[in-house]
Amino acid sequence: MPKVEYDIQMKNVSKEFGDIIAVENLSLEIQKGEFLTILGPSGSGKTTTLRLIGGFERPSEGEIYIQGELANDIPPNKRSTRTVFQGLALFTHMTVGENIEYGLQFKGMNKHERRDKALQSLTIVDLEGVYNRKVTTLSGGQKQRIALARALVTEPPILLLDEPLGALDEKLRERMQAELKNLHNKLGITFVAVTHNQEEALTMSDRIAIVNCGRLEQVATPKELYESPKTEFVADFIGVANIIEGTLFEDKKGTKKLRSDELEYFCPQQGEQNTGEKVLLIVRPEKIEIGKKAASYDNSFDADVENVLYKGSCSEVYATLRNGQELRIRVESKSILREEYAKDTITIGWNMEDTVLLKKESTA
Amino acid sequence: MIVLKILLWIFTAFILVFIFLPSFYLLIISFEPSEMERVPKTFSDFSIKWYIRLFQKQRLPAAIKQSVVIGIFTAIITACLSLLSGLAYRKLRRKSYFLGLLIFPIFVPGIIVAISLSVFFKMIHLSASMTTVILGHVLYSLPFASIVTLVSFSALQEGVIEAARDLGANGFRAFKDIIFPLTRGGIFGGALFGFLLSLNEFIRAYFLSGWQETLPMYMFGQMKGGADPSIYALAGFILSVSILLLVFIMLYFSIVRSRSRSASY
Repeated sequence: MPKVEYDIQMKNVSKEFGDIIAVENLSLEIQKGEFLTILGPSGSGKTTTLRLIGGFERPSEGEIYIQGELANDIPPNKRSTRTVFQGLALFTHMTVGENIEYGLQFKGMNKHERRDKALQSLTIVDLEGVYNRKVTTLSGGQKQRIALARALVTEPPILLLDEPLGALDEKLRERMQAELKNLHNKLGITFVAVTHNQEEALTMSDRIAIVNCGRLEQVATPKELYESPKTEFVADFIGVANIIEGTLFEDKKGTKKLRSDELEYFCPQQGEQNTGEKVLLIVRPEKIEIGKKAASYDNSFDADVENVLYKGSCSEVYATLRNGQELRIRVESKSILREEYAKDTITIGWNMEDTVLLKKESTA
Repeated sequence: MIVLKILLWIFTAFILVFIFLPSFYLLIISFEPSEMERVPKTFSDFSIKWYIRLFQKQRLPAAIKQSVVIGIFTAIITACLSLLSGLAYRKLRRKSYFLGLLIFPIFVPGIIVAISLSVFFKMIHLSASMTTVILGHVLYSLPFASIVTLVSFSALQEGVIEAARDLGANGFRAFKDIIFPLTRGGIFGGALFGFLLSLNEFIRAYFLSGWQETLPMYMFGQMKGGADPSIYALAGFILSVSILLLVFIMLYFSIVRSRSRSASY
């Protein structure tokens, strides 16, 4: 099996700004050629992490290795990374061509070589004919591509993108997501993107690193993050989750169960959690069945329907169990027309192995 | 609402007249050929007699030359210093304290500064000369020039400089390719401020000057000693040149400003 090469390795990196700890003891390895997105809410430290990789901030602690080389003391102009900045940072006093060629000046090319490469990269980002225009005359989407072209023209092994699609409207953003993914496949280089938009991350990335309050929660493929979240934050942040809090115990037959507010739920049987511990049961909305079939599942309950929300191809049913536990259930819209949903009380159920059990972390 | 607008216009016009009327009065009476201080009776009375007499004066050319030379040196030194303060301003956390420090000299009365400098220079055995006047003028104009320069530096977005560094530029190239083109206007404005303030400055020049007087000193001397109306010609001449320079600055600024104001992404 071929050895995995890492383009970027962050080892126990911390970054403080005075009293504020932006990044805390973060260790992350980014594989060569992968598209990794750092995802998190505002203030989670994701942009700081990207800036640390790019060289615009020095780590307070820890080491950063770029392509195997210790990079802590290497300034941004000497690093092999290229950045597409949030807000794009285009040189407004220069033309498009001058913007794109700027980085090439330091590569020892003459005027003609630079021009050729610039025109080439304009073609790659699908934006021909603007070479001589002033950047201020371009639209948002066009400026986006120019910023990309400017970074890519120097053929970097690693491209860093800070909220690349933030300033674009909905439709344009969807299109650009697909284009970025294509670009990544075409170029084969390492992409590291930062965003707070979950959907964007899930669409484009090979792996996602979830950060919260400066700490890395989990790094895995989108599927793994959704199916097997390792922390409450990840379970809640990615997609929608029903989170049932309670205490773990074993019944007479030795089956692991969760007790929460007088109801008992069957849990996944494999797990590191011990009896008596406070745990969280994560149930995804689409794993819950409604109707006659539901009674045959391990966990089956009667529930009162609070609300049914139509959302296009799927619909969401908000239901409450007899102990007050609220659940969100996702079903296909066409099945709502069935008789059982018209009632106020429904039977719902899910299999214990379709859920995830996590230890409840004490909140700091 | 239109009434309010008219009132505001009248008020503005009044203020402008109040400011400019004395200067223009001097300009007009400078064309009166007789030795009386009055507006020329008829159009045919307008004469440039005193302008001609003015440029025959012995001490005047030397004073003008001294003022201009001092002004140029002041402009250059002030521009360099305000450029440096602009670069420092970018990197500072406590920006407002720095700004306060730069502006502080404005609050010290000119005559106190002039006398203290004079005493100080004597103390360090720096004899009064063109150099001491230049130093005094740099100290005087630096706060104003810095404000102008810092305005263009604060409009500079840090991201653009980082982008240049990311693409391979070292500190010097980032300055040459990005910072300087975008702050050129502010630096030039600072220089111009230095020149104009120096040209018109009297009190520091009076206390710090060597044997060669500056233009304001010459004019002061003329007024005290009782002079012919060529002094009004001088005033008219200075006014005209000042207005021309002002128009030039404003045009330059508005061109530069429109180029870098469309600096939004």
